[in-house]
Amino acid sequence: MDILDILHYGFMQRALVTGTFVAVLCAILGLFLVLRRLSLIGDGLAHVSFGAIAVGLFLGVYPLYAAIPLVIAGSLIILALTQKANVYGDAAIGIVSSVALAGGIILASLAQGFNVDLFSYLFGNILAISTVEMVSSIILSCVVLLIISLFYWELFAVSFNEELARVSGVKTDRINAILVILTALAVVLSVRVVGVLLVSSFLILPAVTSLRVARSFRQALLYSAISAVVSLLLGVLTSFVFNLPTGATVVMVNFFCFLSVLVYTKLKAG
Amino acid sequence: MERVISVNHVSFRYDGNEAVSDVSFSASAGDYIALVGHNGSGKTTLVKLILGILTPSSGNISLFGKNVRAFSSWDTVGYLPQNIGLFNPLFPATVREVVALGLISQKSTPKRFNRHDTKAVDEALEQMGIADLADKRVGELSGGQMQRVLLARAIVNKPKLLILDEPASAVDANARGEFFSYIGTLNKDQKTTIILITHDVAHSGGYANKLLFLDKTLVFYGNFGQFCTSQTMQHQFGAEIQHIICHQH
Repeated sequence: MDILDILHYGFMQRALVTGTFVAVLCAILGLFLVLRRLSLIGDGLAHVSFGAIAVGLFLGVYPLYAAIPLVIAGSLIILALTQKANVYGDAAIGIVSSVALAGGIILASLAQGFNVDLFSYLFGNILAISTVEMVSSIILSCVVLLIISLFYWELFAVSFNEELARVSGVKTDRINAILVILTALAVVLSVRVVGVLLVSSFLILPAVTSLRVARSFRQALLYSAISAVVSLLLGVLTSFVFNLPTGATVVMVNFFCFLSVLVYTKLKAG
Repeated sequence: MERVISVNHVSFRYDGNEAVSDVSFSASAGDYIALVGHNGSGKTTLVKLILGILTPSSGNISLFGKNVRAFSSWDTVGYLPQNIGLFNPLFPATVREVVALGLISQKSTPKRFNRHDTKAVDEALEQMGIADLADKRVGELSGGQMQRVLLARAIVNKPKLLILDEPASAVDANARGEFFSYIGTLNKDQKTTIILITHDVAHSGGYANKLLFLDKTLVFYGNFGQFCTSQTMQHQFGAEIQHIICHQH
């Protein structure tokens, strides 16, 4: 079976299209998060999404529809804890993610019937994405990318230096809120692709890869997106050919991409 | 003369400790104020209060007649922070991109740049003598070069108020001379109000026209004529240093 045969499958087309949109979205948002040392918020919100999906299954609501408002709420609680209650950022992420995870586990225990569904979200299944999920992901990804484009200079300024951004008239609290809400949306969309356990790698790896070689901010965004898409395409196709778990294979390809760039830059620097 | 800064009975406490205590002063267009004091005397805190980065525990601050909490004309203000060493060396931005950040205060969202903005950035780079670094990544710059980049960012808007926190700390002696000469020109020709935090009290009389001595509270604020006859300042610095400072002026 050659590559063209694989691409004729509907599930593969949906996987590649959805994965590409979500990968670009995460790669771009991830750059802002990595530069602001907020990488782990993706991991924390992924745990929140686990609890939120459990709530959805418990209430009989489509899990991702339940996850979107709940994960956004989780992201805003993390922000409020750091800004209003003077809790350190990593501690705030730890508090919110562990509480949400604990809630999800309790709900799963109470309603024993949906454990199999819930645990499928831990590892994701990009090859099982439906047409409705694909369309929703594309629309949401486009909305998020449009918002990033509207606030590009504000996000850039806050990433460079928050104090200087404030003295340039940027409403930094508002930009921080926008960033975590967009991250929450990206995490929810990514859970179906790579699963709760691997979401943060989707945000972090393309960004750190691009930081090794980019010479300008626009270049960093472009390289991050390219690295994410190449890894996604190679990962999905490799997993299909060698019958490997797709989400994990995509993450490993992302990592090898980072490793290759790291070695190349070290050799180049002599 | 236009009132640029008005600080009224401002205090600021951090973790229960008073960092700035009951400070009042005002600055008008064209003032060039050397803000001096020992380490931990509250100089940087006072500047951050003036810029609205910190909120006073009591008292109020106005910029150009507007309370700083409601102030929105940030395109009239330029700021060069102290700790340039804290900037992420891996940050993927060119010198040109960083200087362009100084222009975002005059634009509404979505912010877009035009040819005039590109020209303004080019001019700021020329003025700071760093046009050749325009496309260099900021992480590759020396401390002195980075300071010039941030100063170019601060002046690209042609601000009416320029606040500089120890601007000459990372530059060599030659560059320092050029730097103070340029700031002096901005002050004289464009009536830009300057607040300059410095440890170098002895040379402050060479460029500033007012001196503000802070020791958590305001110890002295006035012009150099008043400084030279101030018994408080003689007590603070000793007669010899006071004489040197007055001589520089």
